[in-house]
Amino acid sequence: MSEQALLDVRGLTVRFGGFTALSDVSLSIAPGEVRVIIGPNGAGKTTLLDVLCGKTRATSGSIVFEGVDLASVSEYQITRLGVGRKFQTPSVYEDLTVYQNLEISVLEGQSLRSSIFGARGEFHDRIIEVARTTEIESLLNQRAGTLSHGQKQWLEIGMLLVQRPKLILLDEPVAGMSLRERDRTVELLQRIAERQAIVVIEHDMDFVRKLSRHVTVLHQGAILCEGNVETVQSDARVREVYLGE
Amino acid sequence: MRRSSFPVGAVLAPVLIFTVLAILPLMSDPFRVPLFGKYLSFAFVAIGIVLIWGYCGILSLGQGIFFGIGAYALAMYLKLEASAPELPDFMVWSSVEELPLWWEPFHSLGVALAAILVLPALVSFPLSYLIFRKRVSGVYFAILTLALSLTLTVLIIGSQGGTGGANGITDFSTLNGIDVASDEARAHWYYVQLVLLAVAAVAVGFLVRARFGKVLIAIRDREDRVRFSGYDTALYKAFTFSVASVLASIGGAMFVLFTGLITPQLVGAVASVEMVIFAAFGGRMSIMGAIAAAFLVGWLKSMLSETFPELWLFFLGALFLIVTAVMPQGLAGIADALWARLSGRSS
Repeated sequence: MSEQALLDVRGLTVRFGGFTALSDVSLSIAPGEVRVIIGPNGAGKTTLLDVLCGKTRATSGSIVFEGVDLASVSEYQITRLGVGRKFQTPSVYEDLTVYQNLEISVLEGQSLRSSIFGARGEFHDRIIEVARTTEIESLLNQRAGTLSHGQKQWLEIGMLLVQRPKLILLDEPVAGMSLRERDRTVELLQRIAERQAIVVIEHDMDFVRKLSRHVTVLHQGAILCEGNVETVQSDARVREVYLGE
Repeated sequence: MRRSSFPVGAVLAPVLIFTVLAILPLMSDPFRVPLFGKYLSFAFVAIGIVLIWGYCGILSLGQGIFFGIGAYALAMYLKLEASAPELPDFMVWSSVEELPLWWEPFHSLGVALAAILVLPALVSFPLSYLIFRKRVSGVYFAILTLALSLTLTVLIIGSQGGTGGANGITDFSTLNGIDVASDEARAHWYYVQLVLLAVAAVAVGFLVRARFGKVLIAIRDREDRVRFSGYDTALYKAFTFSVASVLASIGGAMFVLFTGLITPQLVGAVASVEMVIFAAFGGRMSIMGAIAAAFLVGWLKSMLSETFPELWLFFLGALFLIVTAVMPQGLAGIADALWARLSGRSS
């Protein structure tokens, strides 16, 4: 099983001083899989994504992505290996246009040489394609700082897509969105899920049901249970700690 | 970032500025021309500061270091040529009897030019790459560079016999046989510098308009995010910093041609801070603004220090306060606003 896994996490523990944010977490993501991680506040969900993308370092345990141990790989190299991260609050480059935001996110154009001497419009087709997928095509020439909250979120997802990652890490992608924006985002993610693996943190059970077959429940830094939505929802411990029953 | 919504203005400014700079010596007293040359030598530094500070958000208060590298490299060559076959006079005064080993290569103009163009990058790139990799940035980087420039000043002053100490190096005659001391010769060098300055402006303009320039803006605004976009931001910052250091070094060499003098004061903290003020006054993100500001502030400094020598620093401080408080886009912002009004557009 772990032979074909895209991402294999074993015994992951993260401590901040005396506080244990994650303890002995193991999980495995297959290529193309969509995995939702749920859990109450402080369960360690965001910390888990932080460790996967290199923002935070593990105290112990291993993270292997496509056979590469990520323990000593720096953030930018993890991104270049094919792990894309979307942060909870929209993180786009506000002083650049939407087009430029997408353009500088293309991994192939990131060497000094390419960014200085690369042909103008080198990645135009890819950018247009992603803008179409994320439905921000009409905004390409706007400054990213002028976008609405929802549009920024889509742009940031677009910035991940132009990187052509193998695994996308999303931290509450629909937080703060209107119902309509929510629906659009779910559709978008469903489309994206056909092409690469996604690990997504979300609270909203409706959203979870629409998106995923496989759910992992975190509680106090440890995995409480894992399974499909129905199994998880009927699990007594989950109902107790998470659904508040 | 303000997008240039009127390309006419973007062409107009460089044409206007370079035309004025080209005509000015023809209409002024010959003894003024070397002074103009001196003001413009700081424009190289200011363009570099636009690149690192305006675009990339790196505030360096140590550009005097690189200005000094270029200036001393050329001054050493000129001094050897002027005093050959004797030892440079200041060495004799300090009872140095043999030319220090590290002076030997500067008999060659090629070595001196290479030192001006390459040495600043050889110093700045590895040093800043290490610093940026440790994620030292912002005010900490500014303090670090300030401290380095102070240290270098002290070192230069301390080694009287090798560097001319506090008096610096002066009294040159020729560069590879070409006169550099007379006002007429300097008038010719003025145009050489103007061409070099145009090349520097075009080169930096090319950099900031390329995708590279957008990455710099992204790094300035959200460096942590840029790493997760896949960039080695330390590499980008170190590269940018080295480009600026080479520009400062060229400016330093030019300064020596026009003043016939380099002293440790030009390497020091006050000079380094002045250079940042040029860029702030011109508009942090405007290459042409930096050139105009270097020239104007230099001119003001000459006029003010001729009449009220002790007031200059107060004036400089006031200028910096006014720019920061009232005109954050500097001269470039004012020019943009004027142009918008002239062309009947409200922005």
